[in-house]
Amino acid sequence: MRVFVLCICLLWAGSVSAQNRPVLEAFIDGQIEARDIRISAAQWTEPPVLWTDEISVQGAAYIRVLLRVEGPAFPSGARVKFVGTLGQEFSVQLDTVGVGGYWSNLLPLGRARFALVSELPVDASSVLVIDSVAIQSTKLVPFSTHGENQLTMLNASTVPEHLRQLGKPVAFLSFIRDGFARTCTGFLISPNQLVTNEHCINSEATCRSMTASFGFEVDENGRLDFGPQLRCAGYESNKTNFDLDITVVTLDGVPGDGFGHVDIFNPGSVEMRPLVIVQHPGSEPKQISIIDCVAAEIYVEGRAAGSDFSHTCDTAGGSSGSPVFDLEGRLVGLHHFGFQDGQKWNENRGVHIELISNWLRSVLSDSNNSTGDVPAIE
Amino acid sequence: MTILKSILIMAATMVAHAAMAGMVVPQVALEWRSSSNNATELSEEIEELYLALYNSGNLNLQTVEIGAPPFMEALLRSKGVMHGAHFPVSVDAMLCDLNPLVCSRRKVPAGATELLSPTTHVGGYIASRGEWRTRAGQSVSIPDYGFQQITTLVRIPAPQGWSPKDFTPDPAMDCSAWKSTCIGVVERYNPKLLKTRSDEVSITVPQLRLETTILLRRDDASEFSRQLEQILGARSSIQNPHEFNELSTASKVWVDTLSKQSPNDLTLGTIRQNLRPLGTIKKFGVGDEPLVGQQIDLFKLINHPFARFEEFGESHARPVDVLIIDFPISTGHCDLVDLKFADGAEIASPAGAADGDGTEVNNGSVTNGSAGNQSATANCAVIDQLALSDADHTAAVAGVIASKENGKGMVGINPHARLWMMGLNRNLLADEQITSLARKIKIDIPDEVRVANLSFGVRPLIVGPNDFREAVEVHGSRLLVVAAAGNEGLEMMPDNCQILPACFNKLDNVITVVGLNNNLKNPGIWQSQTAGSNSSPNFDIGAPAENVLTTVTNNRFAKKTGTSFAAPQVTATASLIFAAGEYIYGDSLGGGQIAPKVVKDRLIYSADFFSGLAGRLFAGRLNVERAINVRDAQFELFDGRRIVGQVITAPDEFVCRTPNVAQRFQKWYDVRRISWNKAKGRHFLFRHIDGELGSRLGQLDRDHSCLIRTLSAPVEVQTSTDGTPVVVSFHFKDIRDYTSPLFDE
Repeated sequence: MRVFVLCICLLWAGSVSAQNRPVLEAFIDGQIEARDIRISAAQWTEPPVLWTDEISVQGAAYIRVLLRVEGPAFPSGARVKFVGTLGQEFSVQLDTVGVGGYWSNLLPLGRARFALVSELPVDASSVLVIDSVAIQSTKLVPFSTHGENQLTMLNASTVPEHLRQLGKPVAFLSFIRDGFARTCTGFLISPNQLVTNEHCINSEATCRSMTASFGFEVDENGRLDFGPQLRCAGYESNKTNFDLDITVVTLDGVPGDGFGHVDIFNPGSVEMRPLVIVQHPGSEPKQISIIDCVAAEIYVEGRAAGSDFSHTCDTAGGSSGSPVFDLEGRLVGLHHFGFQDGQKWNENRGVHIELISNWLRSVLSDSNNSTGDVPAIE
Repeated sequence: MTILKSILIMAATMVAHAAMAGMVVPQVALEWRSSSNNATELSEEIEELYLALYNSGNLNLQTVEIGAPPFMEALLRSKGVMHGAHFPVSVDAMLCDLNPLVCSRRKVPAGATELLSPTTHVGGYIASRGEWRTRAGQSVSIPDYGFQQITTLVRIPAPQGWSPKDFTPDPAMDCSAWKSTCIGVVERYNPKLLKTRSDEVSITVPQLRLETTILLRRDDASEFSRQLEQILGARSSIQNPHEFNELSTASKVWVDTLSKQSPNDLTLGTIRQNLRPLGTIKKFGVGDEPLVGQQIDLFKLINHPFARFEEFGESHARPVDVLIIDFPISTGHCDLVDLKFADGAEIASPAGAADGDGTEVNNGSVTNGSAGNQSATANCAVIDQLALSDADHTAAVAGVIASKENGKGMVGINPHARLWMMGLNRNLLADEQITSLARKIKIDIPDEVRVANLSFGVRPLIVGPNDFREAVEVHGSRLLVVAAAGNEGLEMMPDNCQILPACFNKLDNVITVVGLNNNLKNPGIWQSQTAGSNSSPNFDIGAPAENVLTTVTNNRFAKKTGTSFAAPQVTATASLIFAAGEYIYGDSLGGGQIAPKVVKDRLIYSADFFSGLAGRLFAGRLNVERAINVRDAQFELFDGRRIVGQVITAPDEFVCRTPNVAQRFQKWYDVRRISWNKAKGRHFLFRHIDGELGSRLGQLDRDHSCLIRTLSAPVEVQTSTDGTPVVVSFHFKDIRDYTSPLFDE
């Protein structure tokens, strides 16, 4: 078994036999540097563009910026406009930043220019603070669960078209927790609702810092694309299940109109046959595990007894929350962790999607009973 | 100051011909503007205009009633169709011929020489005063033109002892376009200049000009009309017929002469220097750039001749091809030269909206407008600080280098440069970006290109830098690569320099540019709140990186900050060195080119050195004027004199007092710069070593400390005053600063 690429995200805190529960941790993808850069009236120029500057971190796949506001609130419409590489251009409205600050979207390749803009007069005591910068800095480390690493770029010519299509609703998730920038994978189960692992998104804070990047792929011609980034619109604790390691969050847009979604209510079942996992390993563009990717054991212990199946598909840190499909394209599982024995990983695990599907039905049913509304998920 | 040297085509309107006697639907309408600086010349300009129009049958006429006193000059001035200090005889003769019922004159046929020009005769006869028999109340034909007064800026020689306080504006002047009083404009455009006397420079002052519209008959023989049709097609907007003069009183010889040529082309050939540009313009002056006032600070920092509104001479105006490797760009700019691509594609400077005004009275509506507002950007003078995209970055680099001298927006460091573009592919994975770029640099750079600007950096993750380095190195004999140091604010040590291509600067053809702040007298490394220039003791030269006004997309401008905009200042200056160097030394080069290393070293040793930059970079701040004066030896003496010319006498060797034997004896022909270090009380030297005597291809070495012992040796320099050679003598000990010519001959 040749080891391949780097960082590890989901770890047992010891051998399986010695511990009752694995310690699951989203992929730590970089560090957060405090900056405390204060943009006050002394730096402002003529309105409406009060200030411009740029930031560049060589070698980072991306950075994120934590904005805060001090003093009197900025007027309505005041914003920080970001212009990054790979077509990323967005604004953060300063009246939504809040006391705890607001993490910007990902700025690919570690470089961005930004501007403080306000058409209305700004109180001279108001201060924009660039509190911190999350810098992607983790490099891939050799790693595979089974044989050579066989992860393949989703749009490689060797990947059949129908399997490429499976990957469209899959998103790269970035969020901040416990002072680290972390990544996971998620996928749409409706035009605006996204599934990932509970150990990735499990609080209002992680939800607020989360971005879901669709289209972060290398295309057929080897060109890197970075599609739209959507934010988590709100965390709902009743749509989180610890035992099944799942969270459903609603996004602030409707990416499913362009990227489609996975049918979670008509799942397949795990059998001893080939599987497919579409994922974002580490900070990498979207990839697919398709070779040497089969179920190993159908029912094994997960967070709940018998909730998981084991598989030999290659994954890496950041793959948590990836959808597991059968070759017919039916969703059969939610990948959530793997094992490490010394320097070798010997199996990965996913949650049976049937369990998740049944639980989600009941959640939506309860929601329906209490509100009388149609379930949010179609 | 400026000055329209030639105009290709003016905007005009094509209309159908109306066959009415005297009443004609004009074919074209053109804007005429006076250019004289005094009342006498103005009379002559109007005389020239009227004669050119009259003798070609293009003079517009009106019938008016003569008043009291019944004098034609008084009548014309009262109708606003005569201006200037005097009433030329030719105009009087022309009016006489137009009104034969009330005037007669002595008609002597013009000779063949006079008939060569439409301004040296009146209808084929020598000009002579008319014998008028006018009475008040009679009707007469006179020119029909509506002259408007406008205010513009002009550049004129400074009168002895002149200062801005000596300027008194004419009450008719209106300087509101500059958002200032006319006195304020004079103060802004005539700052105090270092090391110059007021009578040594020209000054910029407001002047009144006259402007009017002239109409021309249809003329199918006109080459001008043919070109006009190609540009405008058959658009028609002049519908009303106007009265034109008939040449019924002209001599048969002149009528025959005129019938053999195009009357309109004859007219335009005579008055073209007064026709206002509404189409393709070939030359403007620096002072015509509406935003140039916002560039003066930068020009001062880098000692560019444009800081004093001085134009380039013939040697520096030779176009040199410059390549910009940057993000893809898909549109041109109203203030940029055409952009060429290696695959043969070309982006032309956009025609249309931006080709209108913006020359003299349009001082640039400087606003923080929104991107892409076509109406706001139509005048090619809008500043928009929200221009932050990658394409804006590319356009900004281009503008710093070669924004055109065209009466719009701003002007680049070398407006004569030709620009080539090569797009970076940031959509490739990191390591593939480097491979792709290396391949492009190695293969795709056109032969004509002499300087390449790389305002970006990459840090390889896995692949070694060998491909990239090799791709740059293979151009060692033909291409100078100018690299930005990068904006990460890192102090890079030589053994830990990872950003490419900035860290390739040990190559003879790579020069790395550090960004500096805008402190004139004591610059430091540029640093903003979120970024800052990378620096290294090995990086070559510095240039200002703060608030550099430049072009961005959608015909806008922006003030940009970062090393990306410092590097193109060096790029453009390098192109000027190539231009002048190969122009001046071309005969001795035998048709060859100047080696990139020679230009790189020139930029380094001609820089301004500051103690605050010691140890942060190899040389100091870019000094354009010192770098591009490649012909002369440039001396600054301790007594304040600046002497520029050819060295006739100097010691072949001079002596430094130093315990280092290798530094003791300095050979004149190897020394490139001697400069006084006030802090040390000694000079420092730049010299070429490890080569033949006088060679520029050896290593450029810096001797930090030379206490010169060669004190009384005479130095004689042949300078020029008004074209007359003058020899200036001084002693070697008088030299505070010396820069060698690009080559010794």
